[in-house]
Amino acid sequence: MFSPHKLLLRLIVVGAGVLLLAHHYQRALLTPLLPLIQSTLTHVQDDFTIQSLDIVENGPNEVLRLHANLARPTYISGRMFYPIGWQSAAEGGYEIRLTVGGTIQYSLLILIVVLAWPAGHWRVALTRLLFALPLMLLNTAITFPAELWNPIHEEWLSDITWPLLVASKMLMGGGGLILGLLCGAGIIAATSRDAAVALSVAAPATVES
Amino acid sequence: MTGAIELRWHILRNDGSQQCLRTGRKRRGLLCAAFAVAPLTWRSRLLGLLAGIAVVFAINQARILLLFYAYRADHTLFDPLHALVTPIAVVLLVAAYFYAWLFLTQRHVQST
Repeated sequence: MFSPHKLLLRLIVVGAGVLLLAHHYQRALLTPLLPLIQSTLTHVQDDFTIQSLDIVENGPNEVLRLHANLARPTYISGRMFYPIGWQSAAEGGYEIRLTVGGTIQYSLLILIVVLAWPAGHWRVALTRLLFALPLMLLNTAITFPAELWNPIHEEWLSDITWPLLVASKMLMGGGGLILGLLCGAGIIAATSRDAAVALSVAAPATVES
Repeated sequence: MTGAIELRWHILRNDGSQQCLRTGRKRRGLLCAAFAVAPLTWRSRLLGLLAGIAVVFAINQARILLLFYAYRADHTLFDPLHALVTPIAVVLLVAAYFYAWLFLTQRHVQST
């Protein structure tokens, strides 16, 4: 096992570096991904039309602003929901705002864990990054479909349990970070050149008296 | 006219404010799960868990104090600290504590 002091030092250095970079360049990093997220959302949630997705200033914060509307009248649990402005000339919809920091925090945790854990060889580090990137994107993108339904659920259907929203609340309430940590640990274990190093926590099996 | 434009948008915000009153419950859950499956003696497991709960509590209090003073000193610091830095730091510190406990236990066993 690596010394905890060394590991803590690496976590502090890598964590500070990643968080500083993310704080300063989060907009530049996310902006090119917005069309990808928007087209993914359109395919995954065809109940909604995505009118726009951008990053805007909101006081001192940067937020992801999503304009969406129901694509068609939708029948849910005995109630009919019409798009805002349905059969009228008015345009409109929902505006959902998510803080950029809150949206990318799970992804950054995966990145910190994967980079901070000693790799031994640059190829291992690169492989870990290649595994981490799709998971980071998935973690970021998974929040949006739930956020589209969340306003409707909270205002009119709060008596019904939706698995998607339960999962989303779990992720946003701290579960996402734990999942991020587990994803990072899983990547390290799967890509370690010497499985005994990554899984050395299993070694204290001999501790059992 | 501006009012008419604003009325066309049903604005919903999720700025993470529902997370303000976090008590570290999920971190304690993480720690409990980790100690439940860790290959340790029962004594070491129990001691590690009890100490860990105290560590999580201390880390959480430090986080709240940091956020309070950051907000008082500079409003713009609050959001990055609240939404990005402190949640990640808390999880990493809890994980580091668990790792350190495993490491120390193993070393203790090897030395005896």
